Amino acid sequence: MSEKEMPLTEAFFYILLALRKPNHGYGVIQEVEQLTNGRVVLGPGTLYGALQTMQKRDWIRIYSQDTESRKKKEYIITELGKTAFEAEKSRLEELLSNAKLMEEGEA
Amino acid sequence: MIRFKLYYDKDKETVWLNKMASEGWALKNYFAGFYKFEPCEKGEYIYQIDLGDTLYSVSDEYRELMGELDVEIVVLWGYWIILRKRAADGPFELYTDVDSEIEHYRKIRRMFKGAAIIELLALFMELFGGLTGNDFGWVFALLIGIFVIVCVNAVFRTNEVIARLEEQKSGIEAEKKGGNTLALIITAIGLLTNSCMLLVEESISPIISYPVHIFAIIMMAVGIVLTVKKEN
Repeated sequence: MSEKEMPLTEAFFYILLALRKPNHGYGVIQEVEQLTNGRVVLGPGTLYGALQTMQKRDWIRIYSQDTESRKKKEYIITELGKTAFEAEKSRLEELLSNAKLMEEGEA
Repeated sequence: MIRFKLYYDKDKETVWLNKMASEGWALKNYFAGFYKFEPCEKGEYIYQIDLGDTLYSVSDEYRELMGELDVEIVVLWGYWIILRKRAADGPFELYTDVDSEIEHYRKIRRMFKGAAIIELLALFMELFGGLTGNDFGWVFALLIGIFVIVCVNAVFRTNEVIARLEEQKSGIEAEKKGGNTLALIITAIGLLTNSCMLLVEESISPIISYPVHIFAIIMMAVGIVLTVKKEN
């Protein structure tokens, strides 16, 4: 993971999470909105840019592309994407566990 | 209804298109500064402008995603993409976090930089044409010169937008960059001196013109070196 790729932006974090199972663009936006109680609403430009960048990094791939039945394009996370997500999760866990020091200080 | 306007600032253009839509005029088509509007219900649409990766086209993936999100691609012009969404379908912002917004403006800056360089090359060709007796060369040189100034101005403006967003992201106030402006002024002086000398070369003695030419070349070189240093 290069320096530029970490830490993940909130948008990247939640898009990866929403793609743990096959999902399409609108589905990703909806799920992220629900998970964050409407705090993170992804704009089309932000979503498209993130999907392109993460495909270039092989973090996600196209899952289905059934043009015949006009089915929406779905994406899914790759193994490399899961590694990136886990790395970010460890970083966040470190932050959270260190944050507990603040409570000890008060006690 | 057709309106003629020349915009190089997509943010101002977006504001204008949305103002027109709020007054009941929806943009339907665009050609070289001519905006064609159709009547719509007041505030029926929200317009946004994006910058694509290819000229006059978008990828299938882009088209499909926009379609899925009820966003209509209204105009493809150069790298610009004018989009709209029905206001009834909810708010419409293309970029919703500061990182993707910065990336968007960086792309815009790259585009204007590229255009400025190409136009600068064209400017020299037209100046050469003018010098070799083609009067059209002067007219085109003037037009292209204006375009170069517009592009350089757009790069500066986009720089300011990016700096503001970077500040917003990091919470650290950016240091004011003086070096780049200096480099640009030095380069500009060099270019101007050189052009003036080319104009009057015939009528003055080489004893004057050669040193001035050398001065101009040194100025241009210094300007370029300073710019490259700053970029690194």
